[in-house]
Amino acid sequence: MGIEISGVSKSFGKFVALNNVHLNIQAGELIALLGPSGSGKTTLLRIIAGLESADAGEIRLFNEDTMNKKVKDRMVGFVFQHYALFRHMTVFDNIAFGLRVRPRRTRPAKTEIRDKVFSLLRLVQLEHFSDHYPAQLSGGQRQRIALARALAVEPKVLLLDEPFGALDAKVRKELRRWLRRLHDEIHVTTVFVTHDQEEALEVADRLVIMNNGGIEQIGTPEDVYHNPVNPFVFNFLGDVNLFRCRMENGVPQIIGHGSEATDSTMSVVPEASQVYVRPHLFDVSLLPNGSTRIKGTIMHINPAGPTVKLELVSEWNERIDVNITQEKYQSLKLNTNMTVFLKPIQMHSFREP
Amino acid sequence: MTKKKKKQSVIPGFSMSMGLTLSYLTLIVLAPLSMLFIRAAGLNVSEIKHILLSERTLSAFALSFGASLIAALINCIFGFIVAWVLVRYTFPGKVFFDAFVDLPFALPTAVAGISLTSLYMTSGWIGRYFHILGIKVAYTRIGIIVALTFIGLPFVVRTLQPVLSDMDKQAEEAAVSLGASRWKTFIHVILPEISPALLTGFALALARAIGEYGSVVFISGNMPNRTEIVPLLIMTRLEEYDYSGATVIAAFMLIVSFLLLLMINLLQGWGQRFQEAEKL
Repeated sequence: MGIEISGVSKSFGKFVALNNVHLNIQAGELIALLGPSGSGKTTLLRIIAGLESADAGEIRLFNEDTMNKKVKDRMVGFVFQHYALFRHMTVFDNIAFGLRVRPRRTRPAKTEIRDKVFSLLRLVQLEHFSDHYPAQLSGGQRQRIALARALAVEPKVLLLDEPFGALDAKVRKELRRWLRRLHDEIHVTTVFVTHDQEEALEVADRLVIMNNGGIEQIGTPEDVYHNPVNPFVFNFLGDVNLFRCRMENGVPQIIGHGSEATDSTMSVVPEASQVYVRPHLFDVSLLPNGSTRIKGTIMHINPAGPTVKLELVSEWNERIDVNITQEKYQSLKLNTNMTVFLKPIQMHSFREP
Repeated sequence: MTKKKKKQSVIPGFSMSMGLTLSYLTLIVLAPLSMLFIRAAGLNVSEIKHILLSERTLSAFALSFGASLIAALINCIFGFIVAWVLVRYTFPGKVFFDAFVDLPFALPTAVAGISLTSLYMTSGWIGRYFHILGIKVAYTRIGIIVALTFIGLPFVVRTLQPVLSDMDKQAEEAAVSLGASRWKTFIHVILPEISPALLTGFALALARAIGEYGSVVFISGNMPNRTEIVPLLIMTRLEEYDYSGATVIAAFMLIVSFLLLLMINLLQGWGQRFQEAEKL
């Protein structure tokens, strides 16, 4: 087992950052801690690193209790959102730092350090920057150096705190693919924190979705996306529309529209009073056809992008977000103020507490 | 710390502000100082040599600069600790402690000298414990260092405080997670970050200590060749109506001080070379 977290709690004053968290992470896994800000994900990461201490509970790294282990003896590599490079050192010195501060008897020889640094620079594809100062690098390059620096000490666990949070969208995307490839290459147990669900879904082997200091769901990207266990997870992993409904013979009737979803693919709980529909899971038509129809007026159209985003208002003044393909948009010749009919292709509902 | 080589300044009027700076500096600093040199130049070389190389002058110089350097060094160490505590921790009464730091600025130096003397006399509150250990503080060179340390403390604390509070805490955490001990984190990560400010504080405390007169005359005992500092020697010469002797000593003191401060400034520039890189 790589990391065993059992019953970890932590509060800052009255604010409960973590509440009895249990989580097991396999050796070699790439795990994303995903959640909104204030959900406790960064606190959990910092507790694993030892930068923060838990009020209760236990963390075991590779079957070793970490209770009395100092940060410097935990063999964790930590990468910060804002890089935290040593700005008065060159790139080379930054990466070599972890090796040079070792006590004399475990410190590698100078040539060894040099070889190690350059092999890491090759790994992060920045061989030619060894004598630059961090200030001379771009954000993406700095973060790769920070990663190389963390890897230099050959940590058993790599912890990344919103590693791409400070980068622009294009670089983010590039770097997260690169991180995935890097992980496939070196297989070090990795935990990274993010609030970007797209990033988590793309990179991680497994996702841990956190909210209010607790874990909502743990699973593979596919699993959590298609089988969310509660409205929070469903909502957090993408946009949703919420409809109130009434059950009739196990079939949800969306209230106010007299419509039923008999032919929809459903994962609907019998006693649910609310159903959720993703914006792209509507069938849009100009005329009512068949049973399940929600009438809406188009308020706004945004045709830029791979899909066309429609903003509708139902007869009951509920806002509905709908995404349709460009082809569909062309063929229906949609315009603002037009009235259209929606049929949910897939509905989700959850057991209510 | 200043940004050099700016192509386009936000505030225009370089020539005007530069002219103002030069004339202001000339009027306030350079003109009075040049009077010293003009007066001193009235003497011939052997006379100057005679004044400067006399035992009394030399020992006064050694004492003034030696004690000032030691005091500034002590201030660097304890000033850093004070600044660190004030920035990093919250504790009851912190505001008061913060205000205490400035007191040496506000107190008339004579008052400081008298109170320090009465404290460190062999019968004083603190002096009696040193006396048990066989150490005499007041009326010795140690007393001079105590007085100079007292008046220099605020410089180091006040120059370090803003730098410490701006410092990236995550760099320290990164160092620790990479396996650095506290000591190594301090030496390799914290110290390089604060060294320019520390040097500034050191230079200010040193300059202040070299020129200090009021507090030292009370605690030093003022024995020629033993506990007589240069400013006091100058005063003595003036009281003896030996104006040329006074100006020669003063001019020489000025030159040494200037060289010292220049050296510190150059050192500071070297310490900040990584910031220069940011502008490339």
